[in-house]
Amino acid sequence: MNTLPNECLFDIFNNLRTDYGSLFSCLILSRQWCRIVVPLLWSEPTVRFSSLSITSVFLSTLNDEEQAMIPFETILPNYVKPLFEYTSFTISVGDRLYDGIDYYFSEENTFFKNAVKCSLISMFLRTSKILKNLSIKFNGIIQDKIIKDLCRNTTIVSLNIDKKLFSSEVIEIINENVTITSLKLLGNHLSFEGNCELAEALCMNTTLTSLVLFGDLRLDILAKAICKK
Amino acid sequence: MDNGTSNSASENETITLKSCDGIEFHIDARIANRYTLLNNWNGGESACIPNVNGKVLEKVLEWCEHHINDPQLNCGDDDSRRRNTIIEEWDENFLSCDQDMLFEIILAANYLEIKPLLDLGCKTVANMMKSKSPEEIRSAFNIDNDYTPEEEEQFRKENEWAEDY
Repeated sequence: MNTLPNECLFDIFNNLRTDYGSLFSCLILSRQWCRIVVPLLWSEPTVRFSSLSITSVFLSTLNDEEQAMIPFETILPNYVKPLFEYTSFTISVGDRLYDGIDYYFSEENTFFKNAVKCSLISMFLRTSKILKNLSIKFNGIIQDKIIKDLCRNTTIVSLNIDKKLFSSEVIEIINENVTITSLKLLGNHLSFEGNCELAEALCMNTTLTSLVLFGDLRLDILAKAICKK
Repeated sequence: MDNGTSNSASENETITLKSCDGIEFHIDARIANRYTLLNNWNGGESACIPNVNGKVLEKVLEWCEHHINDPQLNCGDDDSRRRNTIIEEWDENFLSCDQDMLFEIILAANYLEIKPLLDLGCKTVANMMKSKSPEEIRSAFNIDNDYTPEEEEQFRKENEWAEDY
């Protein structure tokens, strides 16, 4: 087995892509194996499940700026720096990330948990150079830095936002991001003007190929905009 | 879909391939046409395949011959190759060889760019690892542990979410 080149080992481990237990067994065997297995194991860590230990690794990846997004006295546990920047291999961030934070900080209030969620989204946007699918799901204020990072991001192709956003935030993302082709906006409550602005932004956008909207939206206005395209 | 056998070679045409240790094989020319590297070396009456010995080349050619009429997948269609996780009975028997030979076949398939055989070999090894503990895999594949005990402990801790899955 030691004679097989890395590309063959990758092909072997790729067959175990969704078999996390077997991948774990392989990754703690040798340095050569772990370098191949870690990117596979961490490509979609929050799509399927959440756990205390994975949330703890995410928290230990926060930099000073991201930690400062949590405006509380609560001190995060003093984590050891992880052996890898695991989140740099993440392709998909799913809803389970947020369930994991709720579970990890079950004693804390919603305001605190939302701040942690924001800081982790920010961390993923900073560290993952191959992030393609991002799901944002929580009730609370999304910090302006995240909207700016989403606008500038050039890897995400599918964005799923299940929270209330201001129309200006949605429009900023639609207008400025150049890679998102699939956008899901759930739970939005826009004003009449907000609907008109969203319709205008959709008219101008040339990147989106799939759009799912759910909430108090004026479908007549939006439908007209989409028909124009 | 290109069936890969539409080149000028007919069923009766044969070519001669020579392994790196000098063993000659007379094979159906359609096999060489199907796999670029085998074809590229078909320059004369007997073309040499470097890096692959006779024992391994015999196995590789036996596989190619059995699958000569298979539809050919597009090279870039990695997903469709991966999705097909079922291993046919003939292939399973074919790869029920000792571990060294299995790895030699994978190496040769990789070297000769015979993708379906490479995938098959990799799938077979992956199946051997399924649901096994680290210790079982270490002993089955003779893997040396080059972690320090501290590193191994930290590594286990950071990835234990996968173990529990």
